[in-house]
Amino acid sequence: MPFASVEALTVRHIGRRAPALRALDLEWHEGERLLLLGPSGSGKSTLALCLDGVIPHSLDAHWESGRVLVGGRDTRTTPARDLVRDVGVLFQDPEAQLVMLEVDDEIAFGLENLGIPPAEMRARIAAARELTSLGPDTPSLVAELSGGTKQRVTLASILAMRPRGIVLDEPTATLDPVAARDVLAAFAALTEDRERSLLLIEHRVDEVLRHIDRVAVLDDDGRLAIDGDPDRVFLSNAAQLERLGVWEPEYAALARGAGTSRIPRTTGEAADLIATHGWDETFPRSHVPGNVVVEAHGLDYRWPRARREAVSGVDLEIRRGECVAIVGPNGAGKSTLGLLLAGVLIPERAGVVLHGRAAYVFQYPEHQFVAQTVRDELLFGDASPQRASELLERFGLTALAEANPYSLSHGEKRRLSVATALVSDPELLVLDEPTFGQDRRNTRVLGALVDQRVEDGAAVVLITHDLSFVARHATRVIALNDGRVAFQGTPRELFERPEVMRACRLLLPPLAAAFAAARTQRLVNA
Amino acid sequence: MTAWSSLLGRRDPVVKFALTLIVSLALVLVIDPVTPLLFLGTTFLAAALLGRVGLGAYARALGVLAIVGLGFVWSNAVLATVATDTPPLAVWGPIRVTEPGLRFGIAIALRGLAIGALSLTFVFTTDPTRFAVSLVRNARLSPRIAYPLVAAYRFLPFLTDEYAQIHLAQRVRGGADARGLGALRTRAREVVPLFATAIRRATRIAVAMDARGFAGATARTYYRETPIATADVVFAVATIALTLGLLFLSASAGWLRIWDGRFSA
Repeated sequence: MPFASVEALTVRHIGRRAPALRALDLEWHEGERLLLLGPSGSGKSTLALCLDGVIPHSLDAHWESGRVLVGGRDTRTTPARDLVRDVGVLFQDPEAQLVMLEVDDEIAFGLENLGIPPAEMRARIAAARELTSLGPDTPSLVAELSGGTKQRVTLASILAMRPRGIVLDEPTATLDPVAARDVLAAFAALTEDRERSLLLIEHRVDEVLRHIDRVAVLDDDGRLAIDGDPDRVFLSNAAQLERLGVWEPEYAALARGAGTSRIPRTTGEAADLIATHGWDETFPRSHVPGNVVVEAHGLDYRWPRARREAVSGVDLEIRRGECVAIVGPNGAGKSTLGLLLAGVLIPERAGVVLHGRAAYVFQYPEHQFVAQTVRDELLFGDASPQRASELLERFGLTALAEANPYSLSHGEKRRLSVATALVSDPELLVLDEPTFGQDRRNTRVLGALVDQRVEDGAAVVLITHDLSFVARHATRVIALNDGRVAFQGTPRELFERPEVMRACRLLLPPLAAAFAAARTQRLVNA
Repeated sequence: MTAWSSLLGRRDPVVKFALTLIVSLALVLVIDPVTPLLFLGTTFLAAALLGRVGLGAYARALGVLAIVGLGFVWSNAVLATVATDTPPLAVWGPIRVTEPGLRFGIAIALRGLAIGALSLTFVFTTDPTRFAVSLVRNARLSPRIAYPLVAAYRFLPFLTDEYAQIHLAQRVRGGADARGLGALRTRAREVVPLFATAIRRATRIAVAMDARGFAGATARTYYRETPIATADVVFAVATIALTLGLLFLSASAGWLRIWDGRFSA
């Protein structure tokens, strides 16, 4: 018997013309671990909200047809307080779901709403903390926790309510790789006892593949496109997934190369395949670098009222035709360095020499919006109307020229923010976390754009946590730690220096990790 | 926070809040300079001894109040309407500084500082979560107001950071160096993204709260026990007795003056 079933569900958000979900049929079985994928805007989050009754009980939406049954009960006629006992939802951003100031109060919040007596609350809080590895050393003030720990607190607060099913809606989307690993480990721990039904929405597919039973894929219109066994979904539908812009496991490429019908589930399995076939890792070829675009000598910067330097003693030069990635842990000074290189921040002592024009694209595109329409956004600088039209065309925004920038989708906003930076045709383009929250399709578009800039002889600086993107596009990497340069070299050289990776809290992307493991195997055998 | 576990910190927040209000109201009616000084000293003494608050904590906030207070002193000293036969203390050209005006100005400034110190002591010694829960349980505030307030309290530092980033991002687009009307327009432009993110985030928190049963809650229970204890009653009685005692002391020494409804010296 299904734990939850969605029948011919069509839901449209208020103020939208197109439905978020269209005639969706989906069954989520009791105790099943279901992975839900889809391009951004395909209605994955809407489905999560329908499953726990937030739609329609708390959030208004046009329920155009169909029904959702949870435990055999229709969510529309079952009171919200009963539905939350059945299904809990973990959302993307821990900052946008934490309510209280202290950890135990946070875990208690849901229990209080359910009317659980205080004595039982204490027992449930202890059990939930245990399940999510929130030991006694965890600071009690939520504000002092890292992003990954905050997300584990929200997970604990849902587990304490003991729902029979949990929806995890991109729980790692706002986290850095180390924090993401932390949260996914907590997810993996939940999958072991099979006591609950789990529905996971997550694009780090390699990390979760071995913990799931089935994959369902939504298309752009919010319809069910593919549904089935993970190996079959990824290996037999590769072209469709590519077209939809849905992430596939990096290891799927290995399985296809080897002609097997099973995707490696662990780094070890992947390394075996690599070793058997003698494959080698590919990286972008280095162009012959041109003239220096920007150079820094003994560069220091301290933010007003900060206790220590965000950037200190940095020496580097970046040349035309280079794509340089700046990587490192949160707070290492990556963005500060990028802002200094682009001339947005001016150091107290001279330290940066810029030869040419520079542009900086911030992590959140909306922060940079200044105009009422997409076209005016581009005209805001000194762009000629021809230049604006040309950029609209190149970035696929022509049809949206008169739309309000805020009404664009995630990917469109990102493209617009990059387009506005290119108005002046800068020799140096700095992109802060360009792939953050982007789906596969948008990431590919951005990657092609970066390659094109570099090809055209400009320099691009990527500030990023996304080492898969770095491995594909960067010709050089600078790793920062505590404001200092800990490493400079090619991506390949960085990936072969585990001690630098550890010191800078970097994690090898799945494929690179498998190649590294294969290299180690070779060394051991030789 | 050691201040939260101090003698003052352990008192029920709602009782403490009510007492802060009562004493502040009493002080509003006082218009001589000595009585507020007595209260200021007593507050600092209680904060340091019973609240384990470092007095340095007051410096910044009270510094601002002190500057405002100096303004009051100056304006009252030179502008207060006093009987024309009152001899001035000093005359610089058209400016006449009168003794009653100066005294009234100092009184108002010190009164502001005393009320400020009292309120800060409440803030420093109160765990905000306990305050919210106590407001619900002891002052019958609806949880529908109290819990969103707690969430909003978490939200404020985020807005400050967010604004700093938006300011930087907007500066990159140009126009931040404008002055006058242009600068005003730039500021107005920066508010749009700030509002957009703030509203989106507030909506998300509201949805997340409902997903954990906040909207459907019928018989809410509470993890934190916040009963009003005997110690709280004793504390309330002691505080009111101390207030009356200080007023009596001031009155018998002939310092106390109570506001008589006129807006000048």
